[in-house]
Amino acid sequence: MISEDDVCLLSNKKKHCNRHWLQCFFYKMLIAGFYDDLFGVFPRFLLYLVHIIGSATANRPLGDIRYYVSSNIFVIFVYPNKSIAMTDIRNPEKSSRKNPIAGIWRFYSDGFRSMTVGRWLWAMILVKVAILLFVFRLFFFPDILSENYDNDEERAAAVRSSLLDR
Amino acid sequence: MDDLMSVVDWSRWQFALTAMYHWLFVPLTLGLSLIVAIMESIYLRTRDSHWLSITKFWMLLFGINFACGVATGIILEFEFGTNWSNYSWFVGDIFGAPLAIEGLLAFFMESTFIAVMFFGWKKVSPGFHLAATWLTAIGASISALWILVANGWMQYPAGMEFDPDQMRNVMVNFWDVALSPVAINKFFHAVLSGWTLAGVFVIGVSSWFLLLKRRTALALDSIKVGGWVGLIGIILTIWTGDGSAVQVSKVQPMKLAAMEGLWRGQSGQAIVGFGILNPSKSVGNDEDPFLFEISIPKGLSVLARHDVNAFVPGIEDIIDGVDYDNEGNRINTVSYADRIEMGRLAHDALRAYDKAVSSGDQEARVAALQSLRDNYRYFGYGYLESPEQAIPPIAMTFYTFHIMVMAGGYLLLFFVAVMIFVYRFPKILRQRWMQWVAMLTIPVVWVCSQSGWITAEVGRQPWIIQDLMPVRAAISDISAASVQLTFWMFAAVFTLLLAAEISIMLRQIAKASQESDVADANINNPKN
Repeated sequence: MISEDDVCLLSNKKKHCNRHWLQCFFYKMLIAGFYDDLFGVFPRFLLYLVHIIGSATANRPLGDIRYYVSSNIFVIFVYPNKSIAMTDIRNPEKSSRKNPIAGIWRFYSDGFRSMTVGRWLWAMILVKVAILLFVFRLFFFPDILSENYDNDEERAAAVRSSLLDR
Repeated sequence: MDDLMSVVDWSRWQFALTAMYHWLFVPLTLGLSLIVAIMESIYLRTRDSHWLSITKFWMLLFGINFACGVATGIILEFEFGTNWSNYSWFVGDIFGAPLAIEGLLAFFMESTFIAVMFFGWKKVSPGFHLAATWLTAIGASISALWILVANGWMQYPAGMEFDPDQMRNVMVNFWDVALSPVAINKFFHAVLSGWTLAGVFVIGVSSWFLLLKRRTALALDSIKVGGWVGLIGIILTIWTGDGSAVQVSKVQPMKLAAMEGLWRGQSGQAIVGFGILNPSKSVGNDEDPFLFEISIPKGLSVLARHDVNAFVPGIEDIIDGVDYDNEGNRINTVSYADRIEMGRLAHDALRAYDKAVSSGDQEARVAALQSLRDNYRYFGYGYLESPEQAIPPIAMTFYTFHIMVMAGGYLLLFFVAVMIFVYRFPKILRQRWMQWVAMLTIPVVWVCSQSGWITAEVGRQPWIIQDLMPVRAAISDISAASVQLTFWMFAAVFTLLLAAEISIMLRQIAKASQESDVADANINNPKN
């Protein structure tokens, strides 16, 4: 965190902190994301405000070249796609045409969220599968040949012995 | 020996318990998926919201049943590895492929399209939704196919060669296994019995609505669809049952003889319609096989060999190797005493082969391998001490077979009557006595369905693979106590789960009976 020798960057006293430049990047995304979620729009001019706030929270100098690179990456690549993603949330059908994986994910998540009787059925299924796999299978139903013998030759020998001795 | 038989018996009971529990849900899935697909097709064609509500109601019950049945089959595969390790190794190369295909199809195809069925009502086009419903129904049947291919191979092993180095049967012809006439006949018989069961279920639940005088329109239209599916199902089930009898008479004649309690056969053999077996009857004594019987002349000859004068061998004929063709000429089949001898020769050959391989004696190895191949067909008989040990439990086979046939005959009459009533005399369906008959038919069809499987599997005894491996050779070297423990654990867990599942189903049916729709208002309007 900020040491006694570090000074808030807003006072233009530059000090390097120990945080990695990627941390600044993610701070900016977080702030931009919050603003976008709240207001549904992220004016580009506010980017520099975010840049300053992000710098202050990360104790990064405004002149750090990596910081500017990351900001531009955010502006050029992430923000436009993030805008699309935000648009997706407001227009799901539009997004599924652009991103089928997101569409499939939304299909299942909406479906599970809207279940009524299905919740109880799923609970029953999960309890049943858990009992079968983690109780019965683990403790009471070992695969005898796989566990007691190391290779197929040993297993064949064991079966041969068992069959001919019966 | 006593300990071995105890392990065998407990393992048998455990597999029977878990398999019968699994089969409570599967036939309803097979049949109800088809009925729902038909209902949705009618909705898409008519665009009538009444058919949409019918479809969604039965789809909900289908979903409940599907969820109840999920994972009940997995435990059977666990048992293969633990209780039946000799068997699973011996047949692993044959069984593995059908079970793997079944798992993939069930998991991917059904799971994918069932999600579209339930989640996709307002998200996909109506045509795509309908296609998903049909594909779910088809996927369920295709899954059943592969399980029945595996079971069919147990009844009639084909398409394999025994490899003494690996000690397992190796598949040499996939199509002999997949297209075995026994397997194909079993598949159609099992799936069509599912249609019958689902038809009864729909009619029974709909009759309950009629009893309450609620959702009348839904009930009557559901009875029409369920009735048609059930009627076609029972007619074709009876037809494929005839096919099964022909196959059994060819590849498992001892099973057929046990199914009929037939000790000494004859040409133009009668079929027992109803009978009570004489428990004192056994091989070699002259006791009458029945204390009481009602027979249909020449019926078994027609059923088994499609010839009124055909000879059908009895238990003692089969043991003695006696059979006749349809022209009355004696056919010499191998007697059970000879089979036991050949089986022991196969066992000796296997020991000699093992010894020759260990000592590096190539000549002895070749000779032993040839002897093994010559006698392998009756390998399982080498475990028997007397021919009587090859006779299945006659009482259980006989009674379950006749319960199945009598119930099947009743179901045919039931569906014919319901279809006549629903189209020509609908007032009869609104009579309390008819509604109770329909509801009480629900347990009858389940008893019929389970009896069929018991006949098939008990009649196969003592074999786990016909003629190649008896059940007692298939068992693992484990303690009876461990099998007993897991048996009772299954019984407790499955009983609790079954009670929970049935309560969910009944609650949804009761909830649906409280709803109403416009069609109900119209049908109950005295002006209509």
